[in-house]
Amino acid sequence: MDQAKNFTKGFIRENPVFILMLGLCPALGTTTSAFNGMGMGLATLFVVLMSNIVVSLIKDFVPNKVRIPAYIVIIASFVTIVDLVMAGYMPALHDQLGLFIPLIVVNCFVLGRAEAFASRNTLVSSIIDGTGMGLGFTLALTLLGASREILGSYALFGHQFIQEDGMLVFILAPGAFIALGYLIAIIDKLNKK
Amino acid sequence: MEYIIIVLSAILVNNIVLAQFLGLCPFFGVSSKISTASGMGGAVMFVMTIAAIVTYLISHYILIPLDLIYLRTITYILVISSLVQMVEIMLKKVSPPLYQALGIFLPLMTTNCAILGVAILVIQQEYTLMSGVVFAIAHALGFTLALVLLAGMREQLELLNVPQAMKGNPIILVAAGLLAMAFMGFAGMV
Amino acid sequence: MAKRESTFFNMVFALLVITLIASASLGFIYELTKEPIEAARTARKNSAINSVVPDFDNNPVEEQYTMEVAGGELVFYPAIRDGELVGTAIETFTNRGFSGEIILMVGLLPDGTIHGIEVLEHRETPGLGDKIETGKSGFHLQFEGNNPAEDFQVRIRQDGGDVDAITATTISSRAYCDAVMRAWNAYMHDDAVTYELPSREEAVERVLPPFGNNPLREDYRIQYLGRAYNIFPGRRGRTYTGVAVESTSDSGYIAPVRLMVGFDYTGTISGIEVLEHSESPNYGDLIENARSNFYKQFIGKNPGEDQIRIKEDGGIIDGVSGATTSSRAYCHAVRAAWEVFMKKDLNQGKLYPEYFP
Repeated sequence: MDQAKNFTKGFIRENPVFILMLGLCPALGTTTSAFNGMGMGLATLFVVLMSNIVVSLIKDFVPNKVRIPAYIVIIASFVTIVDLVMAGYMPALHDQLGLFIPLIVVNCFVLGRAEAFASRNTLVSSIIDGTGMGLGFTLALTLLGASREILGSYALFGHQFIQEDGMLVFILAPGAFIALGYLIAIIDKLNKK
Repeated sequence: MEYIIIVLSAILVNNIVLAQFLGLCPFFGVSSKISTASGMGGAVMFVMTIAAIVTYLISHYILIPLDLIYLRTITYILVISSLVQMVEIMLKKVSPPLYQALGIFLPLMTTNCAILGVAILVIQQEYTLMSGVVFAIAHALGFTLALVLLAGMREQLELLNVPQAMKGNPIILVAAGLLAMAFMGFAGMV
Repeated sequence: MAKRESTFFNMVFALLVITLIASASLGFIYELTKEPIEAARTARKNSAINSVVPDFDNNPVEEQYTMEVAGGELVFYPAIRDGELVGTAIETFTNRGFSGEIILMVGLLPDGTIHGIEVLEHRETPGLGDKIETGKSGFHLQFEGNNPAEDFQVRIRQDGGDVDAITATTISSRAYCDAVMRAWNAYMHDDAVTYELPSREEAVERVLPPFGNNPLREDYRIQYLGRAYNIFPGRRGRTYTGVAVESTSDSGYIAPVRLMVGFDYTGTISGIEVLEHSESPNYGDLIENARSNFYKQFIGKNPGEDQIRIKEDGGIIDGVSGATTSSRAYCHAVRAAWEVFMKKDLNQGKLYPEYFP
């Protein structure tokens, strides 16, 4: 497979959130601001990249029947590492993301990459795939976070550009669903062109 | 009284799907029909309650005494996935009708973040075993309620003329958004 | 390397190796991050304590104590400066937030005035409920310097109080007030342990050496240095065994302390009870007999021979830690009682200890 395409497929064409509708829980739950969305995206990027690497390395060592539990253990370990490191060095962001950090482990998109890609491909393509898909996920979360922050607090990355209260609904739960709905519609439209 | 507050809060005020964004994959994945939605709800309740009990026991009798709380994520997910397998095998043997009803949903449970999420929340919020069980059942009820309501809306949506660009996932997300907005009306009730 | 077959041994072996490596590396990372996590946690707690109480020179985290209240536990961090309690930071909570629990650090001065408030944890909606945070709005400012005991109702205006809720954030604001009042109530009323102070009758009975009469019916007053003292003589038959003096200190930490001090005929202290005080909960109130052994240091001492002062003032009494002023007031009241007991010329005719054999 063309490695450039392999890298960019996660951005739009096979974007985990906008197209595959995977990993929606963190996508909606943590994107109250662009910064939080990006933080969550990067944490997931680390996990998907590292687990892709390890899975691709040990794919021949693990018997077929127990591969899923083995992948889960690997993913859970990296999730715990992210959890611990963030709690130690980025306590503020860690508090904001809260429960959604341990829940990366059940993000179907991470296990999906390990099972569907890394277990069948070489180390290099797995790294490229993990990075590309992780960046695509980060992109989606940042975009969703940015749109909610712009509409909901008239701010972007914490910089307020209109000194007023925003359209609060976009910060609240309903706004998350609605904003993602419209973003998907827009991306679909762009995709078809 | 404490239990009533837990139940009301979990089902209406802090609905697991519409306010806490847990379990969204099945929420969108199995909400096309009311019948499958309620089947999924039953399976979630079953697994969520058992998972909450088992993870509670493991936390309080193994992880906390041994100061191994940092292994929480990895232990829970392993316990939940083996639990799902066991439940599946046992249901098949013990109660074939129940297995018929819930069986196809069980494999989806491992990657349902609502299950792991509730298990972690029970420990984080320091519930006792009994209130933890009530908490889990109430969250499962809240999940089922949201799922069935969305399924009802989607069945109606089938009959509507939706703008071309919004067809499919976008309109479902907007519908879920409106549902979440309705649930916001319960805020402050507890 | 060819794919390994799914034999039982292979499966168990592979999983075993993976879990071993996983848990070993997690243990390693855990040890590595343990300190930063702990440091981040204490740093946050310390900075919250620093900003809600006046300057102190002790380590409040080391001297923390907890109190069970309905629904949970409050943690108290006493701030002490020069041996004196200057304020208490209280880690308090409420479950009435828009999205569950909110944890606050509320700083109270010893008389219950709110000195500062910081939000430690919350899950309120960003852009809305999170305005309760100190950096995001001036919401907390309206609490500072006010005392809920003095006509400042810690409720939002919609509920008939004096607090302006944050726009569109009634529930979070209401929850915030709830958490503040939980801390304040626990601090002021000491919900967990309330000991009844003894009545005058009980106190007289406890502090006097054995007696057979009814001292309360033979009481009288003495004026000394502009203050009135109630005297309760105890006797057996016609022989006086001791006397109880009701004595008040010049001033306590918040208000004067009123004691009942019993002496035997030699002027040796036979017992002391606290009748009334308004000292700080868990500090000054340790002078109460039910709360500490502070009073036992006095029993058997004779103020004529022993320096009834705290050690800081050159005496023999160990002050209650963190409550120097309260201890000092207590000693003062004891000395005043003794002086009244000894001054023969104060009350013509009925002098002590001349009654004694």
